[in-house]
Amino acid sequence: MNFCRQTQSNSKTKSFNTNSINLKSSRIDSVASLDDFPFTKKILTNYLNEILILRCHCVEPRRFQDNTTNIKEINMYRNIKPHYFSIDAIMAAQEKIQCSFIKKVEHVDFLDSIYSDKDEESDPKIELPLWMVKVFLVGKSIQFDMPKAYNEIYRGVLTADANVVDLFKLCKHFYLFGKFLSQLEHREAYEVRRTLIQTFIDRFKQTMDWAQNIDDNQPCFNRLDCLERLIFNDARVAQQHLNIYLTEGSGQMEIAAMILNYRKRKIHESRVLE
Amino acid sequence: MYCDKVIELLKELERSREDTIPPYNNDGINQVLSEMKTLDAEIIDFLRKQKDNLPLDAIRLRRAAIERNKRCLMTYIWTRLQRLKEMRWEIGAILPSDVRQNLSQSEIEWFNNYCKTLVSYMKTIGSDTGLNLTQDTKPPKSLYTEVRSLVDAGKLELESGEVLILRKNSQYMLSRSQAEPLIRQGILEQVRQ
Amino acid sequence: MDIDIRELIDDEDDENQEEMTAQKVLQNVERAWLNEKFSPEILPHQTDYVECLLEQIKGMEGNLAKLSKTDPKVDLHKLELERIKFVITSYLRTRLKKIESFCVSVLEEEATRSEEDKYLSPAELQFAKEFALNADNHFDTILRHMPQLYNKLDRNKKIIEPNLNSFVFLKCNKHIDSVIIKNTLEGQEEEIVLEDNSQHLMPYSSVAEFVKNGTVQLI
Repeated sequence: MNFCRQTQSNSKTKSFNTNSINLKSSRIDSVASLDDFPFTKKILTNYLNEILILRCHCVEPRRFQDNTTNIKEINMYRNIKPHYFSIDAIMAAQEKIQCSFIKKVEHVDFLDSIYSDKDEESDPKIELPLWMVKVFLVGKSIQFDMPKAYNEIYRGVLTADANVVDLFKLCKHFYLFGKFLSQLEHREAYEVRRTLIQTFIDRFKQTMDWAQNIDDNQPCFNRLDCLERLIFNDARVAQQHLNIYLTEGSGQMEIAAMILNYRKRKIHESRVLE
Repeated sequence: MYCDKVIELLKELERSREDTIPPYNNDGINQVLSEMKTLDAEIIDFLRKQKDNLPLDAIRLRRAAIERNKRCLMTYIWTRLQRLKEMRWEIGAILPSDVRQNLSQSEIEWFNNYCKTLVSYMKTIGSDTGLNLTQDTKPPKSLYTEVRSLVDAGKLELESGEVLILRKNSQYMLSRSQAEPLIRQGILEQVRQ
Repeated sequence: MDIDIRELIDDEDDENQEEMTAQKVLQNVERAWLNEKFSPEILPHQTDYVECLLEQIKGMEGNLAKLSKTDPKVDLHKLELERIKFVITSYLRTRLKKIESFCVSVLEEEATRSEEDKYLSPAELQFAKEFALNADNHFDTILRHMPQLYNKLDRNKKIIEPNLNSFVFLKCNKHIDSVIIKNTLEGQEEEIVLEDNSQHLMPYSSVAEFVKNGTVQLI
């Protein structure tokens, strides 16, 4: 579907300043009636929604804190946070971060081991899940390095060609974990935000190509992060709806498998008797 | 480390297919609840023993761990409810026994209440007996379909009241709704276009 | 397939039914259905139209039974009836799913609305209340075993709200001078004109009021 590709590249260049698309003036008008094209609609809206959410998550955190005049704006964005019961969000907050303590934390058993072989001089390092890191950041007891997937080297790789990266292997919840990280106090947070958005945009076209065109897409699917997987599956379903719509009425009704097997057995038995 | 157990519970759900419900892990839940109680007791202990110079990080961490345990447990319960709800629409009000035995007592109660709520809502639609929303889920495409009889099946009474004699290898136009069960039983086959 | 449903309606009925024709009612329900399908939030209910259409279906079925069975029109009408029934059930199903997903926020917002301005029908409101209570009771069987400070689930946590900024496709039924799109984080607003009959893709929040008053149709 050429049209998708055009619209994508269109919105790719514009995605930072386009808030609405007039369907007459853009190339979408080549499609006579849009409601015939669930696939295109689905992927376009999904794309724009995710970009918007990524951008909102990646605002400078202080915009939300000290600008009281912007209460309304904050309300507008409150609903895009993952909700309380989101397993993906919980799992993303479970991803590990390597960090070192600035202050000694007492009365936490599993931290004692890092002080036991103390060298006094070198700061002890430990891997903690994100939600714990957040706790220690409150007391300014800790500092952390950006996890591998978001460090300078990988940001370089992703900027060069995001499509070649096996994102799932790199980090299962690449975008969600990245969003959480970029909201923490860290000197590289801004760079991480930019990489997240650019990576999503760069990989989107390939993801949709896979969803639409490759029959055995397990190997491709395996390379996608959780968010991309959701969008990919959405696109697959929409594509199936479209196919059913196009071959309208040809949905074949078939004999129940149980009865078919029963028959085969009967035929076999009668042959044996003869 | 804190919360490892509850994460295991959630992973159990993640691993299972979305249209199934794994067995309700009562032991796992009790372990998490007792971890929460221990953490809470430790916090109370800190507050009682040390009036000044409180170990703030240690207390904060424990509080966060309790909240996280709570969030994960609630998510475990909530996710199971979503799947159970889906089953009401897919399978109906009577659950197969292999699904039922994976549920907790409270989940079965929830399901029964949900069925009641749904039915009493559906009864209010329209003027007489209500409207069953779990039917008509696919847009109808055609009323009729062409079929071939595979056997001499004999008389078939049509919805209109007319009677049709089905003979082997003859073709007929039947309403889709009437043809479908006969096709499933292997008496008719649909003529492929 | 274009069938004039009016053919099937008794003349006497027509006189009682104010001025709204069956065709018009059907159109309204179809519009409501599409809007409901594509809007992220629940929209004001159209129960009156649905009930009216259901009444008419009943009448039409009665009339169909009276027609000669050999009349080829019977089947076309029957298919049309099936199609209308699908639209109605799909519309009501979509609303129920939204009520279930956003139960707490739907109930809270409904409580702030005046009697004439309710979004839910009385039956839907009843459903929402029972659904919320049922879920709370179930959560409580676990919560009550938690330490004292933590054994309640506050509203802020269990609330799930629709993303009102999600993008929607729309068709404009009437010229609108000014639609404001606020979604720019750069702090700027953009104002655009929606021409009569034009089609657009933009965040739902910008056009929500126009969807509710019928100037804009989601597609």
